[in-house]
Amino acid sequence: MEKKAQLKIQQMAFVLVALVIFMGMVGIIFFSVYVSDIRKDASELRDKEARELVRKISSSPEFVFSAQSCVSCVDFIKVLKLKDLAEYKNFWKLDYLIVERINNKSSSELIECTLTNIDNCDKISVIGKENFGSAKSSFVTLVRWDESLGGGNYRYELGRIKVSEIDIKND
Amino acid sequence: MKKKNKRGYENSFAWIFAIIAGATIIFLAIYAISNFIGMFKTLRGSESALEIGTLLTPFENSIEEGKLNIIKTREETEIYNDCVESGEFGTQKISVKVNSKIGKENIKGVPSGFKNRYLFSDDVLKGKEFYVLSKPFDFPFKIGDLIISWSKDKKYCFVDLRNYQDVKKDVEGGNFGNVVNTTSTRACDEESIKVCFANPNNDCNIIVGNNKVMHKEKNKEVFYTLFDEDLGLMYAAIFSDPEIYNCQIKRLAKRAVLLEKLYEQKASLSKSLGGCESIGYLGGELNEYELTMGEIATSENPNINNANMVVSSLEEKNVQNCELY
Repeated sequence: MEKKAQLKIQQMAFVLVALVIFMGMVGIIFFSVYVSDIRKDASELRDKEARELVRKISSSPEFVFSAQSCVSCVDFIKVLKLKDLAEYKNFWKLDYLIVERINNKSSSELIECTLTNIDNCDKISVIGKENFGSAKSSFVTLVRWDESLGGGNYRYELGRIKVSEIDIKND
Repeated sequence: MKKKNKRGYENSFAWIFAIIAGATIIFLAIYAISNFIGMFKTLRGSESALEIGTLLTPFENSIEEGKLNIIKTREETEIYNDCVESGEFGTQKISVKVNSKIGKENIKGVPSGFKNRYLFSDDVLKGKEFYVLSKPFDFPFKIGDLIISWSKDKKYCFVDLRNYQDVKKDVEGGNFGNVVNTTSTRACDEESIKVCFANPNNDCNIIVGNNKVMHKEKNKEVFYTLFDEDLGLMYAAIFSDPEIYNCQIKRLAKRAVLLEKLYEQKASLSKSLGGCESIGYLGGELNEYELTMGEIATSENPNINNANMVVSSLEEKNVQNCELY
């Protein structure tokens, strides 16, 4: 009888150990699915935020040419100077923010704008981290003063703003 | 007899073992579930905060300005408006507590921070529906958008708008949802917040006049400006907690200082590129503007009216056809 009792206790102990291991495994699977869902939700929310932002960023005070005359016009000179202001690097929670002129060049051929090549450049990289996610873009009108236009006038060009939201891992 | 005793011992041991093991498993399960519910609530709060922050984006940057909008939530929600002054731009933090029926205690989610948003409201907004009004803040150039919000559950009564015809138009035009307009405090709903624009009496909760808004319950006065006849800051001062209002004014002043830097550089570059020379003559005004806004950004009780003169001067010199802003 003693042996039988010991066997029963052993059986129960095995069942309990198996039960705990099973529950642990179920827990691990559940949490891994749950955590991946959280990551997906967070990434979707950030994506949504970036899409909203790219639609509206052209009319933010740092970009807008003149709120009174043209709400979605981007001030080319202002953006060129904005690039040099370090304070704005973390202002929009973005990994990538560029303003480019629309032309036939491929992305590798685009020339970065500086103070000396304003007439012949293609893009201004306000925030340009090397690693960034998928970029969202929106068309805008780029405006700047051009002396060559009949004694001086504003030049309006078609441009594009591209943004990519900050990577969750870097946030 | 011996046999009987052994079986009794054997049975009682099996029972005690089963009870202890069962109780431990049940205890662990309950503990895990309660922790999980807490985590779930925090997560839902955090997601809601980020979602509300994203929902506020369309209210920025002119698209939805001046129009009253409603944000609706599925459950009773508490939105915490936390304004942080520190840093180059300060931070707008929004956290949310969703009042769920599961579990006793509701937990506040992780706050979402935004540097480019200015939410003027009470420190805690409670309810299921929230009014959102967006007004651009141009002083003289655009600095940001004032997002003014209040709960549908909180009624406001504007008293005696004789001298504020534009406000009257806004209220009567349905621009303020649950805000009513009366001629005396006695005509207001008892539970409503009475905002008096003239002849204040003891029943008034908020008194508006002379570029100041007095919050009687908090015994705090805040300053607004009606520069360019823009009512945005006045509305923000009425619907906002005075501490939050002052914090947001300081944040806006900080952004104005950085925007001034940008305009100063634009002015000097435009001048050096040739043409549009008049833009370069704004240097003196820009410096004075930077100084004044810098003082407002660091003041204990910021008075935005201190900048009215330099702002008017900048506006006068912003030449048409060769504008700085």
